[in-house]
Amino acid sequence: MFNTKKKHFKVWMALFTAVFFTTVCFESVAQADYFAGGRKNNAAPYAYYHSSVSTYGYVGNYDVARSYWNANSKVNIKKTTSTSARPDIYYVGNTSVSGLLGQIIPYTSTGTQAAVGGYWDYTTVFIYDNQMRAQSTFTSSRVNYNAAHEVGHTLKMAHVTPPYNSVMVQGWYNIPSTLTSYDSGEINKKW
Amino acid sequence: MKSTYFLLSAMTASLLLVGCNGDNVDTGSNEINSKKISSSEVNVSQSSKNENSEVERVVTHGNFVEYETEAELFADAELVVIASTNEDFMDREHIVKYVPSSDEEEGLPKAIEDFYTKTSITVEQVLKQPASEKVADNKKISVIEPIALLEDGSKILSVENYQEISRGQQYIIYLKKNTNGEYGVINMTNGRFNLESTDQIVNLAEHGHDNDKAKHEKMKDTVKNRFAKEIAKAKK
Repeated sequence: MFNTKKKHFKVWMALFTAVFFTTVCFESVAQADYFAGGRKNNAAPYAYYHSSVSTYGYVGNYDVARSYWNANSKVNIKKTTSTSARPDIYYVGNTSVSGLLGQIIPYTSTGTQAAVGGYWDYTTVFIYDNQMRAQSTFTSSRVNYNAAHEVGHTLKMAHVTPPYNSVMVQGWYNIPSTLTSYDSGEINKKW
Repeated sequence: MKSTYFLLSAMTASLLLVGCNGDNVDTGSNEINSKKISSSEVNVSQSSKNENSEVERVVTHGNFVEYETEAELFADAELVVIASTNEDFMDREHIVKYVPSSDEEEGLPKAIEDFYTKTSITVEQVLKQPASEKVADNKKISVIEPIALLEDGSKILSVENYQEISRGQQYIIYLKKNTNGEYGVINMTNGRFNLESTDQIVNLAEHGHDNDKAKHEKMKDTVKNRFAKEIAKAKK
């Protein structure tokens, strides 16, 4: 009788421990600063610059944004002039939404908008000229930050809540001089 | 021993509940039937009478000027109003702008440059406005919301998990003119606050929106405190 009770107790303890760790793990995954799922070419996607990028004069800013993330050895965002391999497409545009500085939309291979946690075939990346110029301080460093933020999304990086030092924090800031250890760490976790 | 079993059972049940609730949906008294159908898409049955169509909702991600406190939000807003709309979401003016077709010659797929909804609201009280412009009570104005229905009706695109203003409910709305001189909601969902108890904030953990509900409610409390008198007047 005593042995049976002991067995039951062990079973309950095992169950409790399993549930406890599952819960802890679930919470940590949900709060990670990157999206679930994969994407074409993983952390080495191709980037095609639409003609609007040079027309508006932001080629250098997107170059800096790619270099920022490419500082992690796992990342290699390569610029391409070919559209045949369905690269990510970088644009510069305008938006009517006050305060919206940039945006990405991921797509599936059939050209429909993809679930953020699903598989991405390619993404369109926009930074918005009118909204950036409407900010009180319009500098190249802040444009670089904005471009790096959007390019970070193409690598499945999600938003980061301050006080972490990351370009994935929402807003209009100067870009850090080098890839931050936080951003590099999130890339390492994701890829 | 029995009490130990009971204790362990209770703790296990609690953990299970917490675990299952981590990415849950906020439901007020006017509960929406919302469930996650994938990591980014929410199948929403709107609460308003004619907003009950089930359309796939896709959340897009971007960078925007975010105000962490109500004080910052109020300071930067140009127009703050208590207002409501009598338009169902599906019947509003939905605008989806594509990169000009001339660029398709480059062999690129069709790309959405911008999307938003123009919502007609009736101003019930003005709480802040620019000195140069007077917006009268009961005046109807059109405001931009960062959400839109695609032209084929297949999907609703929402910037940063923005939740549209619901028909027939009072809101405090923080607005600013865009570069075209049109008023638009700022700070995404944390720029419009439902004065009823039926706000439809949905947490989407896998989007990095795991605390949207709590964040919104915290800011909403500050809004309600600041405008307690005005809200009481609006309720009469």
